[in-house]
Amino acid sequence: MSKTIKKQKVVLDTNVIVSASILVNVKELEIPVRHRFYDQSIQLFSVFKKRPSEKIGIATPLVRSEAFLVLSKAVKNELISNLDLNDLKVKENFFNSTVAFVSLCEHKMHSLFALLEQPQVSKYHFDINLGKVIQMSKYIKEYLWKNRYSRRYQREKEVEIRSKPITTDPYWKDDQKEEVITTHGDQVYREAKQLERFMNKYPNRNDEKILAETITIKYHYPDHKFYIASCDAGFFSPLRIEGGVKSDTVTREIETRFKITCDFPREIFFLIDEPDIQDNGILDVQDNTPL
Amino acid sequence: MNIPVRERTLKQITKSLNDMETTGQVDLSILDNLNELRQFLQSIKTKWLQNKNSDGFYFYQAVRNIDLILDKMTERFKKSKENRDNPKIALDSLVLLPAIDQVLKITESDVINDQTIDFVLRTTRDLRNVATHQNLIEPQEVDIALIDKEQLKWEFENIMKNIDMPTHPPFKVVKDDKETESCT
Repeated sequence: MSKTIKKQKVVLDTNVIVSASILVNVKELEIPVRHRFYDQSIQLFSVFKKRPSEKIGIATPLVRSEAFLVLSKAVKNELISNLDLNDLKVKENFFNSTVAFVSLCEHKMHSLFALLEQPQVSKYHFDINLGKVIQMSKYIKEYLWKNRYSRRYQREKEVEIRSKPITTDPYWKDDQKEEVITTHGDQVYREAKQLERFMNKYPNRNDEKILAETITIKYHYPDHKFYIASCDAGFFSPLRIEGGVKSDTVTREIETRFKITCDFPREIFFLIDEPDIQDNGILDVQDNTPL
Repeated sequence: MNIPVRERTLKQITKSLNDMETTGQVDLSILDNLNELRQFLQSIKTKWLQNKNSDGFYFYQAVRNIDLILDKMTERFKKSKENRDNPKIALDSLVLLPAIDQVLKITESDVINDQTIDFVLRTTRDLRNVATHQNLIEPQEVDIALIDKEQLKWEFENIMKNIDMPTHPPFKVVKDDKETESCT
């Protein structure tokens, strides 16, 4: 019996491409650092490289257009923002070094983009889908957040409602009731965590647009399972808190409404990868010396 | 004062390149025009270096990219005979001039706000894309030689943190690093 492989497409968020381009460079420059996103981003690209005919990876138009801006801003915010140099010559060298680093990363970004499919998106359908995404964001903000999680008393009330079947039942002992309340309390706390991140960035138009583009592209691949790989736990990927527990209220909403699974690159890698590739990764990702 | 310099220099360069295209011969007197443009670039770069606003870096970056493209252009003109790059280098350079003009126009202004930053970054990206297609971008080795690895080593972790939120004001970052750890 032949093995059926489900067709897959992975849309990459800007931060995955930008971080991968920085990370590859850092490794090539032999800078002794190790970053938690390094293995993740590179592993995912190794799958695209290994299975080119399937064209698994996708870069949406917005990701393509904003990648250089995101890269420049990320590097500048860190290397330049707190700089206080009076000597213009020293400052010039510093600026030139930073420009060179951005350019080098951009070179790398082009080679990473070459591994990805870069489809066009119909503006008409995109606008319709953006409306649906904005509607979802409003639902999360106005209904989920405001009614259930934004204030402490609401969270307590939510715990109370969930625990009610047990706490009002005379057959349960007090310590058992308390245990149930604690369990529901933890659950509500977890659910609120990703929402807090989401609200800190609300309204997150860029992520909303990337999601709308993905939904539009998905129309052209009705028999494919769609994923979005992102390092951003405020919109796409679940927030993982202590003990490996996930806070994924927003992520689940996206999956329920649009049938798109969002997660960190590593999780997507394990979802799409075949065992032989996991065993024999193309790119060596283990030999970076820790700082 | 600066605007006439840009217009005059670019006009001279355009004329020389058009002449080369017509005659099919490279005229190395264009190197003087390129040097003049380079001096003008230096004055804009100095202006942005003196600017206390750190966002001035984006404008500096734009001009610096033109600088590096001119280096490559000069090198190709000088070696055009031996590399049989004659007059292709003239045609390639000609394609790039509108993008250079656009970048210079925005960097001459002193206005720094979200719109001008966005615009200068987009024009820089477009300029680099055109330069790449015309083979007028410096090779990666040049970039590598210019990078201060020590500086990068210490700032690297923080650069990565910034990737998440470049188009928004920094949001509250969860203190416990385990919360942002994707795999435990």
